[in-house]
Amino acid sequence: MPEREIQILIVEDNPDDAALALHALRKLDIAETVQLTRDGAEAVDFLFGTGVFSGRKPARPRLVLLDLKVPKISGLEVLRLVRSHVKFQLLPIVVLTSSRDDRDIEECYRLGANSYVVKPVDFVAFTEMMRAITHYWLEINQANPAAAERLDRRAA
Amino acid sequence: MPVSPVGSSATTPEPAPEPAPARTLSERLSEVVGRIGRLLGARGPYGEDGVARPADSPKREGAKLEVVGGRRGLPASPASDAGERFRQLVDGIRDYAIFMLDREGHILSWNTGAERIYGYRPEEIIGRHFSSLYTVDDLEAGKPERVLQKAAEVGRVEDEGWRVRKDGTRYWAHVGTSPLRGPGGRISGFAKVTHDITEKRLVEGQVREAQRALRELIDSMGTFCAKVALDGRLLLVNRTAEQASGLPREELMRTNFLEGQWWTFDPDVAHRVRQAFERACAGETVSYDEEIFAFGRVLTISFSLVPVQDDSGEVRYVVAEGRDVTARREAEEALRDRTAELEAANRDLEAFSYSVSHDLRAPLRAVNGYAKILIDDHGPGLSDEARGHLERIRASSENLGTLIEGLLDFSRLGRQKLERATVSPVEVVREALAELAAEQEGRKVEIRIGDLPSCHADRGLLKRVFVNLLSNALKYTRARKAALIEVGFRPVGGERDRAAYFVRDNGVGFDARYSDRLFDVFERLHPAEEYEGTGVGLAIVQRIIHRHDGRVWAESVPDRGATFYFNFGGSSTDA
Repeated sequence: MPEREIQILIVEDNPDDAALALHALRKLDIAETVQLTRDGAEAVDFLFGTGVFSGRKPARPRLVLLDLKVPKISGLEVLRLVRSHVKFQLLPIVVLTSSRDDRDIEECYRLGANSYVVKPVDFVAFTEMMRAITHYWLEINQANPAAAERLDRRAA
Repeated sequence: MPVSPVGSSATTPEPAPEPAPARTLSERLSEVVGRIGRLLGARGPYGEDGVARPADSPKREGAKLEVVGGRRGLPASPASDAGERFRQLVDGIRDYAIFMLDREGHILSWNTGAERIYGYRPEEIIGRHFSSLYTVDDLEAGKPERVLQKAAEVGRVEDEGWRVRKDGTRYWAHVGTSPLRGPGGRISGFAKVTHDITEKRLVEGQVREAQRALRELIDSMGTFCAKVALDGRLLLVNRTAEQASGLPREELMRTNFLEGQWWTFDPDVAHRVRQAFERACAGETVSYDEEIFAFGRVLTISFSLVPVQDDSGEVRYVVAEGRDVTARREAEEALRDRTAELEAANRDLEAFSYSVSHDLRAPLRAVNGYAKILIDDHGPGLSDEARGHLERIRASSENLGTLIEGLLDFSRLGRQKLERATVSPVEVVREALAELAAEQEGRKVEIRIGDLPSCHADRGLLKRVFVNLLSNALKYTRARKAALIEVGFRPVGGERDRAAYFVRDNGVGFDARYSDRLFDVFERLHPAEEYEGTGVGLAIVQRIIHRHDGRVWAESVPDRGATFYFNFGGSSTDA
C-alpha cells in the first residue's frame, strides 16, 4: 500500500476525542489524509522522521491539530520543538484543547501557534468546528509553498 | 576654694569617686591642727613635760583652771608668736569645730566654730569629757573610746556620725581625730576637727535617692541598655542587659562593649556593630535590626546607638539600646511561611482545576458525541423513546459542561491580576447591556441608568459584575409584562464606605431569609426548570467585589423585585 499523502496531523491522547475527531473528519471526507499520534514524542518523531517514523519520507502535513495535555512531550513543548526547526516555522498549527487558561493561550501564541481553539462539549458544535478549521486552513487559507520549499532546501 | 559639696554632687549623674573638697579641707585642717597642736602641746602650760595629766590626776582641777586661762582655752604661749598667730587663726574659724582633748578625752580648747556648731560656750564645755558630744547609742557602743584608741594606734582617724548639740539636737559630723605627741613620742592628747555635713549628707541622700530612682527606671526597662565610652568601655548597663549577658556584674563591666560575646558570636555581627558604633561616635544616631547573643541564644533586636554630646557638640558617650523583636520577627516569618504555604495550596488548587477542566470535559464530550452519533447514524432503527433518552443524555452533558465552565471561570477569578484604573460605570453598564441584547429581545424592558460616580476598579471585572447582575435582573423579570431595571448609586447616609452602586429590578425577587446563601457557589433560590442557571454568577460577582475589598449584598421581598448593592471600599469611589 502506497504511503498516504498526509494532510493533517492530529496530536491527541484521548481515544474518545480522537475517535470523535476522526468521525467528524470522515463526514468531511478527509479522514484518509489524517495521521494520528497519541503523544507529543510520537508527534515529533512523525514530523522529524525519527523513532518509529525513521526511514520514511519526510512528513509535510498541511495542518497540525495539537492537544496541549498529551503524554511524554507536552503540547507546549511540541510547539517549541517544531517551531525551533526552520523547516516547520511556517507549518500551520492549531491548538485544539479543553483548556481555556489564559496563560496557556498566551504561551501558545508566544510559541507560534497559528490558532487556539477550545473543544466544545456539544458534538454538533464540535463537528461544525472541525469542519470550519479544516475548511479554512486547507481550502481558504493561501499557504506559502515557495517559502516552505526555500526553507526545505536550506534545511537540507 | 568653694566648699560646695552640694553642687558637685548634684551635677554628677552617677556614683563616682567623690572629689569632696570639704573633706579634703577638713583633712588638711585636721592635719595642720594636729601638727601645730603637737607644737603647742610640747610647750603648753598644761604639762611641763608635754604630757597631759592622767585622768585620775588629783591636779585635774588645776589643769582645768590653767586652760581656762587662755582666751578660748588654747594655751596662750608667749614663747611662740607663731603659736599665738595660729591660735588666733584656729579660734576664728567658724565653719569647723576645732578643739583639743587631753590624753583621756577631756576638752581642753574650744574655737568659735565649735561654739557655733555645738552651742556650748568655751566655759561650759572645757574640762568636760568629749564623749558628752556623742549620742547615747554611740556612747553605749563605746565609740568615743574606740576613736581615741584608734587615733593613738594609727595616727589619725576619719569618722562620721551623729553628734549632739547643747540643745539636744543632732547634726551629722565629719570628724578628724589626730593624736598629739610630746617629746619621746608619747601621746599627750588629741586634736579634733569637726565639720557639720548634715546638709551635705542630706543632699547626698537625695542624690542617692535620685540615682536609685534612675537606676530603678533603667533596670525596669525590658530593653538592653548601656552607656558606652567612646573607646567601648561600659560605663553603665541596666539589669536586662546584665542578665542578657549572663556575666557577673564585675566581669561584664570589664568587658569592652564591642568585644563582648553578644556580638562576637558572629564575626559579621561584630563587624557591623563596630561600624555602627564608629558612626555613632562621629555623632550619628544609628538604628537598625541586629542579631545579638543574649540569654543564651541568638535574638533579633531593634538596635539603636545614640551619641550624647556636650554643649560644644563633642560626643561624650554613646547610649546603646536594644529591644528584643525576635517574637515579632518570628511571627513575621511564620506569616511569610504561612503565606507561602497558602500560595502553594492555591497553586495546587489551580493545577487541580486545570486538570478538572481538561479531564472532566473530555468524557463529557464523548458522552455527548456518541449520543449524537447514535441519533444521527442509527436513529432510524431506534424508538422515539430511545431517541428521547439520547437527547436527554446530550442535554445533561451540555449542562454539566456549562457548569464546569462556570466553575473554572470562578476559580480563574481568584488568581487573575487586578488592573485597577478610574472607570466610568455608566459606559460599562451600557456595554454590559449591549452584550445582553438577546435577552431583551421581544420583551418590554425599561432600563434607567442614574448618576454613577466613577470608581477605581478593574474595568473588565466591573463589566462582568454588571453583566451578571443585569442578566439576573432580566432573567427574573421575565414574568413581568413591563420589566423595570434601575442602575444607580446610593450614598447611604452620607457615609462614604457604605455608599453603593445598585441594580434593582421589579422581578420575582427572593426570600430575604436566604439572602446570605445567594452568593455561594451553586446556590440557587429558584428551581432550574423555571429559571435556568448554574449558580455561579453571583459567586463570581462576590469574588470580584471582594477582590476589590468591597462588599456586596442584596435586599428583596418575594414578588416585589430585588436590589443588589455593591461597593469597592471607602476610598475607591470618587463620589
